[in-house]
Amino acid sequence: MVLQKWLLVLLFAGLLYLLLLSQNGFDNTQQIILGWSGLLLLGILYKLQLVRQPPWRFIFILLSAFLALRYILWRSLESLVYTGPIDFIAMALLFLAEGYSITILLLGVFVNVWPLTKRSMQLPGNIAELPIVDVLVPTYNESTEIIRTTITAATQMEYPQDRLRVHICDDGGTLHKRSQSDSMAAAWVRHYELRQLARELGVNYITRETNHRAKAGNLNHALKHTAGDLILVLDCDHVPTKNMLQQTVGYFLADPKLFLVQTPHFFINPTPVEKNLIGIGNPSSENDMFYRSIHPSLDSWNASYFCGSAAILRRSHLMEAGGISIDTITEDAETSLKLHCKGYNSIYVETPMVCGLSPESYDDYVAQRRRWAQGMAQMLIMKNPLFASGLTWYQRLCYFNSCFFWFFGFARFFYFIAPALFLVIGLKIYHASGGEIIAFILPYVLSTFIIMDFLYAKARRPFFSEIYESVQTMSLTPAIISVFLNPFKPSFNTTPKGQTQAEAFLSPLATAFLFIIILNAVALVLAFYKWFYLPMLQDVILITGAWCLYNLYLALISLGTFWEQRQMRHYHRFKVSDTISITFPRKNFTTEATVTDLSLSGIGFKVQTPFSLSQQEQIILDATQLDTNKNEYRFQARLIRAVPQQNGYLCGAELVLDARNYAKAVSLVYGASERWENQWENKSAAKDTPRMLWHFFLMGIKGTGYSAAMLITSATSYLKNRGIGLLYKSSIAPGEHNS
Amino acid sequence: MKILFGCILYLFLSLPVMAEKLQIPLEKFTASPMLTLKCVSDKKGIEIPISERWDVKKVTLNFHYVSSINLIGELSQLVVRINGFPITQVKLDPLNPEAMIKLNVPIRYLKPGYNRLDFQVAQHYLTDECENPCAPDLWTSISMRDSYMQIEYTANPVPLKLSAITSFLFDPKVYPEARINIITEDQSAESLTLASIIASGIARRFDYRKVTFSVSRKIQPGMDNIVVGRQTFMRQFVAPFNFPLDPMEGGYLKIFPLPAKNGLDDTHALLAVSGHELDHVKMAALTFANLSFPYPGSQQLNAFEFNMPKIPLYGGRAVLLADKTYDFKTLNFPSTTFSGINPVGKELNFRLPADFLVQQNRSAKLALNFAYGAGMREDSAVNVIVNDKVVWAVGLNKKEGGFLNKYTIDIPLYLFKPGNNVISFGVELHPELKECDIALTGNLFLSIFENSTLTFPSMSHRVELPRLELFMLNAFPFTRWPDGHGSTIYLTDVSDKSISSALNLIGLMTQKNGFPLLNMPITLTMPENWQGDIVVIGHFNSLPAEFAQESPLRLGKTSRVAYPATHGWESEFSLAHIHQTSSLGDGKGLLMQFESPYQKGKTVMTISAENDEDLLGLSYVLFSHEAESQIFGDIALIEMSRPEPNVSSLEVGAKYLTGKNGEVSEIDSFLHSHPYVYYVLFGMLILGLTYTIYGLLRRYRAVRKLE
Repeated sequence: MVLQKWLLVLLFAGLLYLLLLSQNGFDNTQQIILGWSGLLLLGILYKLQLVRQPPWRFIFILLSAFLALRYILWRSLESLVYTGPIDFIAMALLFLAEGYSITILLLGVFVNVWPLTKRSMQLPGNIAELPIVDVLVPTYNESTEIIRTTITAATQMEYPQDRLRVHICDDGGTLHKRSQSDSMAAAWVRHYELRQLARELGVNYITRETNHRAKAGNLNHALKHTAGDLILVLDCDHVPTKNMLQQTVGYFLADPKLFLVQTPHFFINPTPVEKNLIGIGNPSSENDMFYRSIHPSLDSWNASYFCGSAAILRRSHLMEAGGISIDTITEDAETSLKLHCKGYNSIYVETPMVCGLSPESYDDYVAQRRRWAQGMAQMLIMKNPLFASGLTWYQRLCYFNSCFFWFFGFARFFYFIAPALFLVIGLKIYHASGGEIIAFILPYVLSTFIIMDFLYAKARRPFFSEIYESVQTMSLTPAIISVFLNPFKPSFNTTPKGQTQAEAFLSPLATAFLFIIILNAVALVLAFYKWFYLPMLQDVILITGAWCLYNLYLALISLGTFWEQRQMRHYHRFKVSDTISITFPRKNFTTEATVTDLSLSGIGFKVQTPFSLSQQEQIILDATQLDTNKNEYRFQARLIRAVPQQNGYLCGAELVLDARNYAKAVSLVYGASERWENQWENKSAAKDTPRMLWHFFLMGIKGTGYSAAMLITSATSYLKNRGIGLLYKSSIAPGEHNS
Repeated sequence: MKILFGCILYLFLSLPVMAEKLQIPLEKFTASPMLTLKCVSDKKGIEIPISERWDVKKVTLNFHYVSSINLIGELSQLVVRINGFPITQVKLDPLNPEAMIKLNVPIRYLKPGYNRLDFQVAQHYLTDECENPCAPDLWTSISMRDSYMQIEYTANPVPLKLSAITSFLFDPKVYPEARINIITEDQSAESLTLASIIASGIARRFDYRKVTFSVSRKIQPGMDNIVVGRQTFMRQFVAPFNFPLDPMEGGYLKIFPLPAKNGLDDTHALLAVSGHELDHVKMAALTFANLSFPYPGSQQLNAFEFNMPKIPLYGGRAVLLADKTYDFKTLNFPSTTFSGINPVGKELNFRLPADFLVQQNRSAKLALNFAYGAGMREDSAVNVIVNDKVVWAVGLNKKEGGFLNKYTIDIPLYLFKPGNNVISFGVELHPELKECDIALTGNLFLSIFENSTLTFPSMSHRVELPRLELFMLNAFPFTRWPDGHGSTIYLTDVSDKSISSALNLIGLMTQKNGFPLLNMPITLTMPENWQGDIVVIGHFNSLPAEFAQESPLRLGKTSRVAYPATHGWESEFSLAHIHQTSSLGDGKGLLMQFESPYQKGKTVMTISAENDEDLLGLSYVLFSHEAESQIFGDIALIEMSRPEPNVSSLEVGAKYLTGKNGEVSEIDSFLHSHPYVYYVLFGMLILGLTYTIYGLLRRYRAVRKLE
């Protein structure tokens, strides 16, 4: 082992030496041959299935790392030229941004070097061996409907009922809230409603005196009032599948040092970005990338961390660390860091076993991301994982990667403005010749696209990471700066869930992109002009011009994603393609129908009938065959719409649910984890990336005009309010008199 | 009366015998074979050198011109000026547009040094004011090739002062070439090294004027002689001439008139370079080589200590150092005003190190301070031209004129080349004229000030050798250190002619580099394990086997001679190799360059011929323009034919890399020469890493029970 480690160091040193050698000794032609042969090899390997698995996978990874290192070495040694103080500052910032990107790329490569494939662990047959599980569902201001669904599903989890205790941990009805005049009425109502709900569903209701330390404080309070061996934490919108405990608890029995089993957060509703693509495509979200690609990789390094929900923790280890950590606003990751530092282990089970809701609006979406970014930045500053004692070196790198990732806003922002700094202001930020563009820049840039796709293809579409990052850039950058100014300032804000939106409109957040678009468009025009006017600088103009074009494209697409689409449903439908039995009592006719979509409130299906269907018609649905355990699922329903089609009707029906049927419906809709796995697989299989990007592009153009108009209107009214529009007023005054 | 008559008759008869007569084509004074004067008014000229050693008796100028047949004879004329004084005027007659003019140049207008010979025209093709002042019809060309100057002179006596060394004796204005004889105490390596220092010092003073050296044991008449040796030898040498030598302390220098058969030749000098011991002689030689200021006025000096300033690496003549800002004044570009309709451009000449690695993304910074006149047309401009490529045009488009400070232009480094570079300023000044206005040109001016600057960024030194053309450029790689430090000359045969060849070569290297080679020893034994660069001079058959084997011809029992077999492009061919036993033959010389067997990155250059005569001839031929322009690659065969040598150059041997100060690691050098090894190594490292990482991770995963 020691020998192998030394061999590894030696080989890496050899590779670095070769890199330096080529840097110093190769002329441009040789550099072009080296860069492009590396890229070509990378492209060929990418097409081979063989390299998806180790050990061949490492060849691919090493080759891409070589190209990245080769680029940064060239940037560091050859392209940083001092041409003046202002130029230097801009050039240094750009270099730092690139340094960040390459660091994150290399850390990503390291983390993903060999991800863990699915784990499997069965519960022991002897029930007596099973630990007692407390299910903690922290709530704050969410609707009772949402909480009811989650609690109902929690009580239906397949686990010995005497060993399962469900608790509503309510922070919306605390004594403090009930005693404050502004929140008193709502808090009392919520308090009674949730107590009533708890009684109705046979679970425990816990609240506390104050809202101290938000969610972390709430959970810590609940920990004091519970005593189970394991704690399952569920956000109140995270509806668990029935097999959740069966799939997870066994790991705790197998490894006494295990403190956490984290499972994915599966979101049934689209993110604001995805909402714009309904009917266009079905992209994977950032969330999918994190839970399907990154987290299995973190798990391989024993660095899977608590994500706030859908996770089971061992009480004894947690209490040894003082409960849930409260120093940062990402209490979950901080808690994991603390327990990893104590030498305990974590596990990630890739099967999605909760179904949750992601933020519905851009404001909420950005607020959530801002909290994560600030929390991880706090962790980097206050608990720097690179120097935290007790971690292994690979855990340090994994945690550092998770924290450092959130600084992408700085890099992305600078990438947006950097080419314009040269083309508009004339700052010399990048020094490269045409030969060097071909030899170093192109192979590196193209290789990053290949490696990103190689590592994350399962859960990421080309360019979508760039879009997600761009969307968040303008909000995250100031948020991170504020953390650096005062690490203790950020406070926990609950992410609103289950919001509705009556009309589609362009989010005001898009306005920032209007400036980016204008800046890059102006720079592009200047690039065209300077191409002829400054022939000596054509190489740099080519780089910055192409860069502007890419920025413009990305900014337009990003702006296109900022449309807030109409959202009226409380219960989100998801697509299924199963067969159910339908009975029409009016005709005493029973037939089979193909289900198209399903939600807790309704169902869509295609059916052929020898008679015509009418709205509001009563029907009986039998979905027993959908359940693998063949539990009976019979529901009364009412036809809301029946659209005649070539072969029958496309129908939408509303389920008529009483308390007993509601639980069954929850079980049918949310009970099986296979559904969520299928949803993921469907996203991966879809081949509609160009169509989606084109749609965003068109939306971006539309949004540019819209936001420009919005900006002009705002500016005009501002000027009017300031009295600057007096001239305008006086000029129309005669007309007013006339009318 | 008879005596007086006899004297006058003697003088009358002897004058024509004593006077030297030179005929010099004007093209020898300029790079351009044609001098063309354009527009209504134009003036161009050349510099005519007159040596201080000459007492000029008569100068005749013969020039050939062709003028446009569209000129109006009555209004067009050519004026010839010497140092500003008009010496003749010629009507430019369209009926006789071509003529050869012969005229006597009044010698009162000439002075020792450089004399400006200007040709100035006033040309018109219309009689009214509607004439386009720069119409294509307005031209007159003077052929520098067909024009020549005849100079008759007698030699001035040499002043018996050591200050004569500075400007009188070794004067670059002598024509056509200078000859110096050096007499050494013996032919030991030490004595020859001293002679080489002296030869180098002399060659440096002659600047670009060809100087050839001969070595003998006795005085050669008709040329300056330098005698070098210790005190004992020196006293013996001068005793027959009754030249007194004072007691020598330290290094000793003294100037005498040259002893001749019939007494003394006071038009040439005998210079004694001596001292008590060899170290003292060396001090005298170093002092001699460095006397660059007309001091002392005495006939002799004793030198006790010699201190050289710190010499920068790559710091030869007119070489720009990286990361240093030079003002134009330093670069021999004083404040210059361009005026009139057709102003003559001006050049900034400088050199870059021969192993300068062009980094494509770097730029040199040219910061111009200039002023221009008011009321010029908006399309007036100054063009910045780098090595014949226009890289920038500065518009002089403000009606009220302007003064611009630090107008900065970034010039990409790839426009420059190792060696000589030129930045020229082409100025276009146009008057604001409406149709048929009288052209007033007093406001047409542009002044570029001498405090303008040129800065080169830090530059890497890395070049692939062998490249004989770099040797012909500035004696690279032997002059990385301008004083030749780190290099040695190995003479395989010791004879007067081979030593003369070596000294000629030292003179050549000095002139190319512009700095005396004070630190390049001559050795007569094989310089085994010499860690620097080596120049080998000798007979073709006496080249040491160790070098012969490494040379591009791989000389041995048989030679492996390369012949171009198939040609693609002009410089692209494939080679056939023939193993043969043969010889170089008479009348030929051979230059070869290859990597030193003793040190990676260092160079061995052999200069050889079949016999002493050819070797000496080769050393002369290397001064020629043909040799300078046609020698390249790693092997150059020079046929010393008349009137011009025939040069054939090839690249046949192995390439090698050399870095700053010639240092390069063995691995760097090997991988550079064998790039496929790089890729094989790279592949092996990647595979090695792959399996090592795989093994480590498998073990890690087994420990964590992840499999």
